[in-house]
Amino acid sequence: MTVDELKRIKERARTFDKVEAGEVHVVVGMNTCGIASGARETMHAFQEGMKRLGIKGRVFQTGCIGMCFEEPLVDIIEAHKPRITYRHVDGAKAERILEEHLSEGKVVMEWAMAQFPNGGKPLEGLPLYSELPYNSKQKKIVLRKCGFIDPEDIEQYIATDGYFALAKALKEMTPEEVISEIIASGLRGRGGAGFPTGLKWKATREAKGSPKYVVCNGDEGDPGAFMDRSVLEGDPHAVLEGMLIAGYAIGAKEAYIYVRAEYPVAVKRLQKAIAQAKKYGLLGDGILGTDFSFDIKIKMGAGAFVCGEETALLASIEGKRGMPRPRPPFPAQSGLWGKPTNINNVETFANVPAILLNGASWYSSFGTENSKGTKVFCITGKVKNSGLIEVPMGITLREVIFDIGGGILQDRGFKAVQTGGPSGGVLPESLLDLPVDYQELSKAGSIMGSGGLVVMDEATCMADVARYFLTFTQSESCGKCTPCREGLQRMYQILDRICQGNGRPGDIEDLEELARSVKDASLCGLGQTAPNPVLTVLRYFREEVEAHIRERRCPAGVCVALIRYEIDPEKCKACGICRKKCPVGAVEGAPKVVHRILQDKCIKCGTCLEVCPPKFSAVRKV
Amino acid sequence: MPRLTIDGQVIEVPPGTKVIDAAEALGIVIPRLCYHPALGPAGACRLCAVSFLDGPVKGVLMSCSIEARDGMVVSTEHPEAVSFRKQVIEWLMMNHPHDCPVCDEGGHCLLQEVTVASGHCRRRYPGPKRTFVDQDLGPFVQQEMNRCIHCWRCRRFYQDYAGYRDFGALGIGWRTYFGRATSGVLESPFSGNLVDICPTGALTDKPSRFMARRWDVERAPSLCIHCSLGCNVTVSAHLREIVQVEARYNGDVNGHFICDRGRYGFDYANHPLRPRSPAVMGEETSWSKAIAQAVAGIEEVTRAHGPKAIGVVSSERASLEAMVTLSLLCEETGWEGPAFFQDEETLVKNRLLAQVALSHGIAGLREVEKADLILIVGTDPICEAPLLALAIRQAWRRGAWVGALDPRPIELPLTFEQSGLWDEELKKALLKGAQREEGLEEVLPGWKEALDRSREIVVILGPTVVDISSLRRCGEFVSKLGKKARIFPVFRGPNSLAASALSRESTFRSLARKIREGKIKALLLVEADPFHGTKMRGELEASIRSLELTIVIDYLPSEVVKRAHILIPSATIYEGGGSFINQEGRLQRASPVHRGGIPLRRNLQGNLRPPRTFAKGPPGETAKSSWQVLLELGERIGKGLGIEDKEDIWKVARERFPFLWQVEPGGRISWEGGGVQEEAMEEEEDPSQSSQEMRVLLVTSTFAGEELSQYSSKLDPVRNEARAFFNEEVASQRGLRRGDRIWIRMGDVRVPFSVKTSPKVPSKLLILDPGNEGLWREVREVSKTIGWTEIERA
Ligand SMILES: Cc1cc2nc3c(=O)[nH]c(=O)nc-3n(C[C@H](O)[C@H](O)[C@H](O)COP(=O)(O)O)c2cc1C
Ligand code: SF4
Ligand code: SF4
Ligand code: FES
Repeated sequence: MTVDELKRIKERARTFDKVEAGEVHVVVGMNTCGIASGARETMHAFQEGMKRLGIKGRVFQTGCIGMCFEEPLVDIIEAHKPRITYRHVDGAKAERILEEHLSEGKVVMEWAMAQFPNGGKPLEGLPLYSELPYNSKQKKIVLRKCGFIDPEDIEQYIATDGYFALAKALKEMTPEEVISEIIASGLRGRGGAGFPTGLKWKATREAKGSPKYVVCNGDEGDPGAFMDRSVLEGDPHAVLEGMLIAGYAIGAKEAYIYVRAEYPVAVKRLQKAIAQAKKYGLLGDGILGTDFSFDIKIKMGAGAFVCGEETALLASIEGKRGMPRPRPPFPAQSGLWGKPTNINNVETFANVPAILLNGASWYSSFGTENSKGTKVFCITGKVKNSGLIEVPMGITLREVIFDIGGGILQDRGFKAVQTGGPSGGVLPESLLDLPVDYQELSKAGSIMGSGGLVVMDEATCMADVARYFLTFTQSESCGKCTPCREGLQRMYQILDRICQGNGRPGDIEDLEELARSVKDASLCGLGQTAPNPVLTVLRYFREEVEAHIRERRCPAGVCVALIRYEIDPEKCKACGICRKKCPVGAVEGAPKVVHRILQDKCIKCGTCLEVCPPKFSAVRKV
Repeated sequence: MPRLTIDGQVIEVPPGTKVIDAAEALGIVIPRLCYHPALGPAGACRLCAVSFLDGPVKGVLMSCSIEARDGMVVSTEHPEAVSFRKQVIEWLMMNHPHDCPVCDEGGHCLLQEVTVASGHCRRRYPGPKRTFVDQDLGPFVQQEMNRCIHCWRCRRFYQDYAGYRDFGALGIGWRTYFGRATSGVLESPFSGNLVDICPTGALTDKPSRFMARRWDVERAPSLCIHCSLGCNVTVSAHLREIVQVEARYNGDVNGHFICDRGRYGFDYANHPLRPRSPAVMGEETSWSKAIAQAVAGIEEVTRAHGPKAIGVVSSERASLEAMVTLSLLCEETGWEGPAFFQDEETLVKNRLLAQVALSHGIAGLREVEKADLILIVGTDPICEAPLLALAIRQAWRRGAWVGALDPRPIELPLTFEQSGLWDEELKKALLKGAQREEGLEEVLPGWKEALDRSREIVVILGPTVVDISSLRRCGEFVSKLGKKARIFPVFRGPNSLAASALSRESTFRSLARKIREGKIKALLLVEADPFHGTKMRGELEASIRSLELTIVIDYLPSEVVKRAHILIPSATIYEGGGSFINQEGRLQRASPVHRGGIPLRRNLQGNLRPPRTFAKGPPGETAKSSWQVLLELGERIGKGLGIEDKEDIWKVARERFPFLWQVEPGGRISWEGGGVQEEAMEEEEDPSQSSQEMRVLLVTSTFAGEELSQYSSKLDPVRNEARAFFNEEVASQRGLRRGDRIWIRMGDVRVPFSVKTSPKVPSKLLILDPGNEGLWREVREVSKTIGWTEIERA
């Protein structure tokens, strides 16, 4: 493979948009989110239907475009017509789209979500994709190809300038120049800690020892996070290209991608991508006619959160128990098998090709003073639009939650947002205008983390939230160091007691002391950050926790032990519905006799409240 | 060399030293639980926190994980560090069961120590404590997981350091469990070290469980005499019973660890049948009567047949004091001997090995650990010198290449090359090796490359399966390797090197010949049992029976003790102490641990009370070591040596045997070897072998075959059954498979064996390990070859 050949492939590659007159391209979102919503069936329906109806064209698959809440998404592309995006397309809907849109040329307006003009005349009454509120505040660098190419076709990647950054690095730049460019771009590691990527590369390049290794961290163990998975599924070659460039820059020939085995689609696409890159001479010996050789292997992890920590991850690749070890020495000095190793996150690598192609100053024009570029987030919880987004650094939480996320589900009140995964802080409404950047988040007691964003509404109990995140971190602690192993468990027990209504004075102080010392004393980032949710809850929602202890009351009405269901004797019309529906027979009463809840039998499931006819509204939660 | 300040004191340490060790060099012991010098830092317990006030790093950090660097200013007493450490202790104690009154670790528990030191005394968290279900880990290690503080030392030792996988960490987080997948006997022959290395009572010594409180035992530094390595141990005794043996750190010898044979082999000293009282013709008698009878007997034989009619036999387990006294006594009296070895071949091989090793540069365990190329010739480390296997593993972990030439299917906790050579083939291979650098590549792929990059080579050489000329070849081969190569000799007994040096031409076989010829009429056996490991029981029995006088001085209830006319009990190393020279020529001394006597516990548990003898001293006390008995005998027959006590022996020995004694205990002797008269040796002819027959090679295993530990009941549960190793192909041609049971007929006895097969065993060889097979003791003569007609399926 030469650069000229690369250019020729770029010309000839069949992409979504290269559609001939009289042909139809159907693009189905086939990421895990799409597949989980039934995209396989949809895709099948289109393939079958086109054959059956004799429609000329092709069905493509693509990665996640971000709107997981609208999946399965289907795009219909025809020459000289706008590209139409349909949402929630199941098998039955596919039939109608096939019949009306593909056969008769009539757009099914009720399911159409948006359009891309694509040189065609925009349709009336259908918003442009870029104008959707979900999209208008986003800036896509990492995700720019997700949803626009078939991740399993290397030629489509090449057609969208893929591997030209590598060509540029190998042909026009020295390794030192590559590193300077990355340093100048201000790119910081997207795996959580935000260490400047260029400096890490420099340290690995300068470290003594050979061979050197490149490792890509695709463990992504935070519950609710799927940024890296989406990139690996939607644009695997971008990650490979980033790793190749890193390998060239630091002087490595071998690389590993560590992906959790629970990501079968990502693993499959990576395997395909690596095989294709080898076939096209973009991995292997003498890449692009230079003497640069590079090989990438996949290592599947068994899904422990702590295996995302870099030293634990390296131990896991070596076949040992995935457990952190003290640093220094850092992996850059002594990593895989004791050799200098550069480890970066999936998203970090995926940023690299764009930086080299467009230049450091282009990249650093996005973002804030200390946080450049964009960041991918998974926005989940009680928001209307949950999904995958990429925003410029510095955007405010308010914009993310209300403009992109569309606000709170059922238009309830906003209560808090947690950034940074299970060990991030919980921020209150007063901090909604906080710009999303490393420094600001850290000042507020939270972290950027790898990009989880959990939105909570007013019906959320913050003591319960703190306990919930501890449930996760204490059970995922590797058990190596004392503070994390013992301290988190003890913090959990205290919080659990508080939520059970058995809190006692002094608990909050004990919690704070424990949280601080666990943070200071733990060996690795897990223990060092796990107390964050508790600390921020105590910082921003202290009164709510205090209410649990002092008044034995859960203000949000969540903690089961602290709530009670009662029937207002004034309002009860003895209709008997709640008596019949109560799963444990805790409602006492008879026709024409006012009902009563037997508190010691009640399991607080809330059924009575739900079933009491609104016109009576006799059941209340206290 | 980095210079740093710790608590106001300045110290300069070699680069790479951890701050915790730098402090220790100043006498400041920073509390620690997970750090162990042999295992390195883990950063797990967080107890070693100190404040870094100035220099390249700042803040409260772990002194075990941070290397000392120039300009560091460290405070171990800074309030921040102190409160940090206190917090760690509080965490650890939150889940600790506080069952110290019934914990065997009590009194030497690191956790107790650091807890008291931290001042922690009040429980602030009322929550429930974590509990675990314990496992049965076999006869040696008692697990009490509730006491575990998760320092990870056990796992790091068991898996990383020792290389066994059946014990480790299970689960994660606060449920992390240290044990096996299911209950079961620990597979590692080093499992007892878990007891030493666990800083709490989570893993304690099972055999001594609940036997004594730590502060009530008598303890003294001693030596392990269950193989030739001479590991240092600390021995505890309680109520006249040896209760526990622990590893004692000696950086020159065993480091921090010992093997399970050494740890649990001590029970011969408590053996219920151990000779406790002198006896004449099987009748217990008083000390003075027994001595008088012995003197009378000796004088009578001398009068009738001259001094040459008295043969003297000792063994490789006798102390240096006994060996020296015997040698001097023989000189003085003109008795035949002393014979320390079974036969001429063994004597010559031992001397030759000593000579070859001493003249090429002798290696000990430390040199093995540092080597980058290790060649094992005719040694099965795990069976013959178990701790050697751990040392080899440490070298291997640092990248050493390991190869072995031995017909036995050797097992080691590491990856290595082995070629199953023996006899002629071994000789040929060694010859090729001696001729050309890459000579061994043919039999050991990888040898050449390893040799090219090697800087320190150790050749481990044992005399048991290798014949004389191969030993000699090996010497030539090592000289070819040049200066960077050393020889690590593996002998059979704890004092073999001294026995080789003090031996004259007598061996037990030469004395036996003279008995048959009627020249020898009496035998004096000092801590020797010719029946142990003999292949010629029938002949031996007859010789002993024909004697006019058999005097036995020993502490073991051995077979020859039962046949003694006059029996005089002697003290074990635990009662008498003693000096020994280990395989690398290191002179070491053991202190007496207790006075000994019939253990009280046994009497209290059974229906016996201690015998009422109304004598001074405890019942059954063996006041004298064998050398003291010998001095008394000498005195009484008018051949006094003018020696009163140990000091005298050492003085005399220093003059008479300077090559053994010119060093202080702990140093290496500088004997050049010598005195190998090969001419005296009639090489045994190859037994003519029909194609149907296999030659027999008798071997021993880790827990069966070593003389002293044979008598230790503590090892009974782990002793292996009798095993017969066949070449894999040969066995399968005969329809035998691994695990099959067979009978092998030897004379009129049929001994059961379990079949083992390996492609490494040469096809014309049958390797027999009698293990704990009792019937073996009835074989009158072990055949040199065995045909298939003598083998039948059970
Ligand atoms: C408990 C824990 C879990 C982590 N999980 C991940 C992860 O899933 N993915 C990731 O890229 N980094 C993770 N990290 C961060 C890594 O240790 C490391 O900083 C990162 O891979 C470096 O890459 P970057 O510089 O590109 O961010 C985790 C760290 C900790 C302490
Ligand atoms: S902080 Fe937690 S996860 Fe990290 S090493 Fe310690 S116990 Fe393991
Ligand atoms: S069992 Fe002992 S050695 Fe193992 S982790 Fe627990 S306290 Fe440490
Ligand atoms: S001794 Fe340093 S952390 Fe345990």
